[in-house]
Amino acid sequence: MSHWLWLIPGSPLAGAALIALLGGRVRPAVCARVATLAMLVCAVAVAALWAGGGAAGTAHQTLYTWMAVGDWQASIGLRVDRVSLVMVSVAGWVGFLIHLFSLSFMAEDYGERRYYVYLNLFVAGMLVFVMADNLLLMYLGWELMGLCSYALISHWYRDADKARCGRKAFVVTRIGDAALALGIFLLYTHFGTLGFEPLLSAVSAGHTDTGLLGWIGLLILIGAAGKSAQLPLSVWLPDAMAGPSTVSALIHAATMVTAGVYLIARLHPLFEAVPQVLEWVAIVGAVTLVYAGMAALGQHDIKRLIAYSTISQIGYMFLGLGVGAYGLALFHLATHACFKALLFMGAGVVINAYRGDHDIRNMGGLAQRQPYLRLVFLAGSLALAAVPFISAGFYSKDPIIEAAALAPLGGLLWSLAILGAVLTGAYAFRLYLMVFAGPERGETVEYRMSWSMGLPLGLLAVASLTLGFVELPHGWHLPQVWGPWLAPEVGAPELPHGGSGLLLQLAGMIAPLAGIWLAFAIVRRERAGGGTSSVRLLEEGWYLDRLYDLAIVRPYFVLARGLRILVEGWALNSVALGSVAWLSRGGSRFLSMTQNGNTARYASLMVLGAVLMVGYFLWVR
Amino acid sequence: MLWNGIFYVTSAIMLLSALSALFARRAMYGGLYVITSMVAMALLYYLLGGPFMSALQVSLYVGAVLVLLVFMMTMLHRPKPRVYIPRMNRRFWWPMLLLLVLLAEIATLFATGPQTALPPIVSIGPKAVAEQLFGHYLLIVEATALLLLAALTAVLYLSRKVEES
Amino acid sequence: MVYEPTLMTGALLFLIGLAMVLLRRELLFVLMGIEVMFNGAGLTAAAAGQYWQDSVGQILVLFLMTITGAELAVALVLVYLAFRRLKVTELSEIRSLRDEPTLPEESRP
Repeated sequence: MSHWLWLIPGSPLAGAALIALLGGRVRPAVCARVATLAMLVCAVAVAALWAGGGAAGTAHQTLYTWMAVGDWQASIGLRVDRVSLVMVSVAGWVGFLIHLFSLSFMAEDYGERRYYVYLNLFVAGMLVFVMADNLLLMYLGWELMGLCSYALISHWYRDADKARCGRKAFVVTRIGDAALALGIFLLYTHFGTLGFEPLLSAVSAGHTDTGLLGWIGLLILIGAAGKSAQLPLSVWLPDAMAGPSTVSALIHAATMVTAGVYLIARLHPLFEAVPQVLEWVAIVGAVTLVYAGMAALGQHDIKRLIAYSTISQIGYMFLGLGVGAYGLALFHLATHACFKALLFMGAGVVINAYRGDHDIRNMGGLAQRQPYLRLVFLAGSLALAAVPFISAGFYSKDPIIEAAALAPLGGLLWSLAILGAVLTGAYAFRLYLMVFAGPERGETVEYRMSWSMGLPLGLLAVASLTLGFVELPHGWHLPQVWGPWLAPEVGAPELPHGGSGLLLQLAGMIAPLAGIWLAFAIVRRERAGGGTSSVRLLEEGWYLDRLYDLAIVRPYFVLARGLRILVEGWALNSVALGSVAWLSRGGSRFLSMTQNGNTARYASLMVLGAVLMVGYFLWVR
Repeated sequence: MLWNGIFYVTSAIMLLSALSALFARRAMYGGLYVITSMVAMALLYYLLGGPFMSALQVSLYVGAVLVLLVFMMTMLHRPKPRVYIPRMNRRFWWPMLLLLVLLAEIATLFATGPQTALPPIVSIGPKAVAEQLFGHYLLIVEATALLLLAALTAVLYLSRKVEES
Repeated sequence: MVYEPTLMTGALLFLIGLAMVLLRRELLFVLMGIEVMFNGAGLTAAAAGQYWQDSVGQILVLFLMTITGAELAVALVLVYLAFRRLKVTELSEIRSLRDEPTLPEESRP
């Protein structure tokens, strides 16, 4: 199986290249099918990987040497261990379903071919990122994802506002990218290698200065926070909703925003060496999840709401990483990919059904017109809210909350996490109720979903409900597959036992239900005209955007203007260039005095020459 | 001793008359001063042991060159001759400065340094000159003759009468 | 006797001739000044010939005179032509070969 590893990222890459080069000659629908076919090949390859024993061991394939400088070499090598297998499956299968959905969802849109090129390229980038066996190749995949994300968010670039959103996403994640690059440089300088196996074993050997490792860990945390939209770099995700809903489903649910989680999980030996930084990971996750949860409660744009929800859920994953529960974080990653992609795609259908209106205050009672959509959306909402027992979200989110209680700063972390669970239930069902429940409101159009749209939604709905059963709650002697399977690579977290364990599990079950009950109350008030969407603080995301604008963006433009006027205008143009021009002109004017036709002047100049010559003789003597 | 005295007096006359030519008011006065200077020069040549040279100086320089100059002065005659009044403007001071600097340099060059003593003056007569001239330097003589021919041609051409157009 | 005063005299004569060329504006005075300069050079040549006790100094003076004569002839014809055609007798009035400095307009880079 190792020989065919290249097929997994190579197939979407080939699809993108094919459409980019030849897509102009065929109809856009053909390009769509080519892209989906490439993803099908990729998904089948992943399935073959599972079947061929990828779950047991590690598959490794080195393709060729990328660059060689002196003693050091970087190669294009693919390595799939169990952690990567999880990510590859998520990216490959959910990616394929999203491509399938796009077949009819994005038909008749302008720039359809461009969309598929970037979509395939993005999946290729993500797969390269998770399958890379060294940090350099991983960074390549990281950057490729950033590029395609920018291109896809600005898909409808003819609207300047949408293009601005793409730029904002790119610039903010760039800050994280720069930090990550610095971290990679530091790692290389210190360890001399960038391959994961030698690097991580060197780190675990424990001979390194923890101060340096702390800095590296912090830089990597910033990079991960940028890509995964955690505080303080979360401002790009709500605006990134300017792109198509399928793009949001792929990038902002399943793949790119989870890249930061994978990065930290992959480099966990490094973080274990510096527990203070790991604490920061947990704090970032916990604070973000509460911040985003409250902001989601105040949103009235359906996609922005789901975006803030994503930020919040990834906060849970960061929290899981920060308390050492890497396997649980990955579990939540997998379930979140399923239900969030489902919700985004469903939101896309809802928007189309309401003729492009995004505002949920104008919606209601869609259940009667779109019963199938209502069912799948309900499945997703249940998973999001982590309703006990019946949704996958419960089985993945709850252990994280419990593990948080045992960590240092456990009290604070656990309270924030439980609060977040209540908020999640509240906003998830606020969304569901406002769109689907109650009497019919708003202008709807007749929108029939084709099978290519219905099938992915159905599959993801089933997954949202059943995926959790691979890791049933601990302490009850129930079958657990996920945790022990990943434990050899990432270790197992400590979970509370006995009386306190029972209490915590109970709390974890009550919290989402409390949230749902809150949701009913909120929706009633919203329908009456008030409700949480009238709270400006929440709606503006705690004014984070405006804060950044005042503190960073405006001073930056002032500085740029100052530099333009002072440095470029004065110092460079007037002084540097001006003096050169003045010198040439002055010199020319001075020299042309010798050509004024005045013979006496010429004679004087000859005498001047004689004076100089005699003077020279005198001097030499 | 006597030789020295005559030498210095003659040099003084030569220099003073040249200086007077510099400050002369009219062209003709200047020309006459220059003639005086050249006659003194002829005496100097004789004192330096070149009788043939002094004769040539009088006959060639004074008798031909300066006479030509004097002729030209009469031909450029103006009814109201312009009188020269030296003006101390910028056109005057800049060359003056250069000349003073040059003077200082030359004085330094010749006055300082080792002074060489000359042996007693030996008079080199025309015979010796002629032997060298038509022996060793014959080709230069011929070349000079060609030069004179060229000058003659140029003068003839430039002075022909052309129609006033 | 000493050699250096003779050289000094010749140099002074040369300088006076140079002064006549530079300071006087009339054409004829310039030509006279050139003659005086040649004389100064000739004095130096004669003194040098006496130093080497050779006749070559006198020969040099002879050649100087010849060339001076040729040069003066041509120069005088030119002066005459200038007087007749251009109606000038002063050096500062002959300015046909003047090169006017014309600079382009100031332009921002």
